[in-house]
Parts: sequence; C-alpha cells; structure tokens
Amino acid sequence: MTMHLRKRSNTVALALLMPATGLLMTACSQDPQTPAVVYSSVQECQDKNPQGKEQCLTDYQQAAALHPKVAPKYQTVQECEADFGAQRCEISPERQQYASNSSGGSFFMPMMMGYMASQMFNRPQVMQPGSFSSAGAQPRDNVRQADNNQSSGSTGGAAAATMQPQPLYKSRDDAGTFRTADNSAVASKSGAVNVPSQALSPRVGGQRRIGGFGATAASVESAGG
Amino acid sequence: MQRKPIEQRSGWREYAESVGFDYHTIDGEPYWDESAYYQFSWQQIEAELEPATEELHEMALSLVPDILASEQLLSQLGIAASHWDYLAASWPGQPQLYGRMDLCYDGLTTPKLLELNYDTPTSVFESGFFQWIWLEEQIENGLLPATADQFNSLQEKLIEAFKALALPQPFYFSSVEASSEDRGNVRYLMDCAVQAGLSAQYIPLETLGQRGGQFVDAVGTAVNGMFKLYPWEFMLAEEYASVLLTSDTRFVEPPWKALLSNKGILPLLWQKFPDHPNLLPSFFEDSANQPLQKGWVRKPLYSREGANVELVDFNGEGLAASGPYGSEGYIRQQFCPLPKFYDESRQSAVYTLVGSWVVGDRAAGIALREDASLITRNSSRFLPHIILD
Repeated sequence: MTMHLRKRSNTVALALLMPATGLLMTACSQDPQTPAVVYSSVQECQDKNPQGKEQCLTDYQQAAALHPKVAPKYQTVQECEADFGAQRCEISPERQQYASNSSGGSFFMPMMMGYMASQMFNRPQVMQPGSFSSAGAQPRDNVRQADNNQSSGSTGGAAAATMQPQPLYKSRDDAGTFRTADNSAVASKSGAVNVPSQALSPRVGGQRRIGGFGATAASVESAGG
Repeated sequence: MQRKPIEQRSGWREYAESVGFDYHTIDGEPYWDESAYYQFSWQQIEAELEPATEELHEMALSLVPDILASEQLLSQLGIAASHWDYLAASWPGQPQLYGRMDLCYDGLTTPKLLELNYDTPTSVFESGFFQWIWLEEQIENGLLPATADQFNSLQEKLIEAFKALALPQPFYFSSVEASSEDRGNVRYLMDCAVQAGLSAQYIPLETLGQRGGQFVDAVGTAVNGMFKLYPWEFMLAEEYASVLLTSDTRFVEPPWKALLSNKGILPLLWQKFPDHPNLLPSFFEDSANQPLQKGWVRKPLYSREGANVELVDFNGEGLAASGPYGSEGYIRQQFCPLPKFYDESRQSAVYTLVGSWVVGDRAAGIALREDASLITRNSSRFLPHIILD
C-alpha cells in the first residue's frame, strides 16, 4: 500500500463563536477604562464645581469648538433628524471638506447636547494638549469616585487622565444617552463616568452617506458564488 | 468517485447553529446534506484534481497581464476605461487570497473547467470547517475507517495566507448585511484571520462611508484594508466607484480579480491554450451566432450561482435558469454533462459538481454540490467527501 501525505488540515478550530455584526474581533483582553465627567451644560458644571467655574468654561469652549469638526455630517436635514430627532439638527459650517463627488453644498449635523471632560480632581497641574493618547492605562478599580468628591484625593497620582473635552450628542431613538460624535454611548445621565479608551480621544463621526456599496445586491440572493 | 449513503450524526443541526452555520437549511430545503457522502480514490485526488486545479490556476493568472496590456481585451470583458489603471495598479503586487473553480469531473475522464469563482467564492465554512468536523466525528462513530482522509487543507492554508499577505490592521471584513449566508462565509474568514494574528472587524457594506475620498467606517476611522464578499463588477458599476479611485484601501480580493470572475476568461483561456485537456471549447457570442446548438451552453459574462445559464444537451434537450444577468453579453461553452448519481433517500437522480479551492497558489481541497438539475444553483446541496482507497 502506498503511503500518502495527509490531505486535510491537521486541525481546524474556531476562535470566535459570536455573531459578526458590529463586534470588534481581536485577541486582546478587557478594555481599560478612564474616569471622566459629563455635563449637559456649562451651567451645570459650574453649579457642581463652584471652585472651578473657569475650568468649566474652558472645557465647554473646547468641546464646542470641536463640535463642528467631529459631529456626524448628513447631506439632508431629514437624514440628520431621522437619527437625532426633530429640531435637533443644524447646518454645519464645514462644507467643502466633506464634499465628495457631488456639488459640495450644505451639510447638516446634530446639535451638541453636552460635553465630556476630565474630572476636576484628577487633572495634573499642567495640561498637556495632545498627550491624551496614554490615558487608557487607568486601572479599573481606581476610578469609582463621584466627580465633585474632592476629599478623596488618594487617586490623584501618576496615572491621572488628561483628556480633550469633547462634545456629546443624543440620538432620537435613545434620547437619554449621551454619545460621542462617533456614536459611542458614554453616559445615561450627567456626572462621573468611566470611559472605554476608544471613546477618550475625540473621533470624527463619519459623513453618513446612506448607501455605501450594496445597491446591486438587491437583485441577487447572495453576492457570492 | 462514488456516492454512498451514511447515517447522519445526531444533533448536527444544533451543532451547526452553535457555530453560526444557520444557513444549513435554505427555504425549508437542506443545503448541508450528510445523508450521503462522495468517496474519491487517492489517484483521483492526487493525479487528477489537484494537479489540474493548480495548472488551471496558473493558466488563469497568466492571462491577467495579457488582458491588462490590451485595451481590446479589457473592452471585450466589459471593463470601463476609467477603471483600467485601477485594476492594473493592483497587479501583481497584491496577490490573491483564494478562489474556487468549478470542475466537470466524473472520476473517470479528465477534469474540465466549467468556470472560475475567483472574486467572491462562497461555501468556504462548510468546506474548510464543517465537512472536516463531519469526517472526524464519523470516524469516531465507527461509520468510516480511520484511514479515511479528505482533500481539505482549506483552513490551514487560509491562515497561512492571511499571515503571508501583510494586510493593514485593523483589517475589515464586509458583506451585504441582509445575507446570512454571506455573513457566515465572512465570519469564517475573519476567524481564520484572527487565528493568523490579525485584528479583524466586520463592517456591513452598506455602512461603508467616505470622507475626503478615503473609505471610513461608521465611526470615521480610515478603512485601510478590507475583504469584501461583493463582486468587483457590482462595486465598479455603483455610484460609490469614484471613491475606489481615490481611497487608499487595500482590497481582498484585489481589483484585478474583476478580470478572472468574468466568464469571458473562458474563451480567452481557450484562445491561449487551445485543446488543453482541462479546458472546454469556448468563445464569445456575437450577433452572427446561430441559435444554441446541441451540446452547447450559454453563460452571461457576469453570472453567479448558475443564473441565466442556458444549455442544450447532446440530445437537443434545452434547459435554462432564470436570473438578473445577461445584458453585458454572453459566452458559449461546449456542454460537459455533470456526472449523474442515484440518491436512494430521495429516489431520484442527482448531478454533481466538484468545486476545487485554491488558496494562495495552491490547491486546497474540494467542495461537492449536487442538484436534481444539470445547472448547479445557490440552493444545490453541499455533501461531504472522503478519500479512501
């Protein structure tokens, strides 16, 4: 009898037994979280932080300046309101930058419904703009304080987070939740939150174009063969 | 090559669903069918199917630079002039991940190439994983001898290929969201990619966005690399095609695959390798052609899953499958009757197609599809196979 080399895989295995949709599939472990605080307005921040009114204003202004840059953009107000609700959208000041092959007209974006910033007591003495990329290294257990609980100074140590203040939005179908421009849910109400690292740095909400690819597929059961 | 009935594993449906194979039954009809299996000899695998697959693959690749260098051939394949440079830029620097060719093979005569599914081949999960598990379990159950093997190194070769391709990360995997079969295929490929050490992320094709001419995902991150289970000819024809030309995105399969998924490759192969034993005579149809003659098949340039295929067998019996394709033109290919077997459980005849996988440039295994019709469709049943002398 002739000897043959094995013709099948020595082993087969599945690493991932979960639905593909919307999940990030990597081998890495649990995402570290960072403490932050969410306010619906500068007034709310100042009421809760009478000692830090100036900081509240600075944070708010930074977030508001970022808002038109990162807010998701829509080609029509109807598309925007479909995601964010009636009377919750405004014209974006940025036009040409987002224009694709079309005319380059106005774009619409949701209104800013709040903002997220570092917790007051957790700030280093000197803000270092642009250094927030290392903020994800906070151990989980160190971050369970209320924002205005100034007395628990024990955690204000080496790993203090500096994060760039960023605008937050609320979608139409989940109006209680604050979301970042790129649609990460960060809080269900104002106050202290723990933020997953991917929501720490402000990221641009895509220009939503209804469609992408896929139009031709309407006529076939499977696009494969 | 024999068809043999076998007892089904108890609980295989529950197992299939637990691993995401929820399309094992389509419209109430079995798609995965383990009431029987096909048995091949070592000679049929090692002396026929494997070398024929690798030779046909090499011949097909040899046509790519010929076509890219010829405006006449590019036009004949229906590629718009505005896309010629885009396709050419991906060759030869972006090698393929995988492809599947469909062969007419009865175990006795030389395998003949029916067509290449080189852009969006499916049935990869049931081929690479599920039929492998089936064999191991049936050996364990004592229903198959421990010496039985399978022509199926698909998963191993896919993992090796993902390592070798040096893809950008995170690497995105996309399909049309509504098709669970397509999602299942993509999920399995993602699984292989993750096992190769890649960071992989799924994105429904419909939600692919663009900013400043660069493809972005739903949160605005640049999509630098993406597997798409969606035909190049669809992508190039849709409104979003303009972004392809500006976006710095590495696609798998690469753009030059648009040439090989086109049925026009069959007459071009026949022109370049006339009378090759693994080829069937083929030519482009033009207005001067006669009505379809006995022993000929007519296929649209862009057909998938047997759609719009029309044939007349050697006795003059006609058969046609409906579908949405055809406006782009047709080719004609000599008829090769698929081998006919008898299905005892259904008490009916079945016709069987051998799908032969290529990963990288190596033959990687086979997938058997059978149908009551001579035209194999998306709903044709998938049966496992073994090698045994």
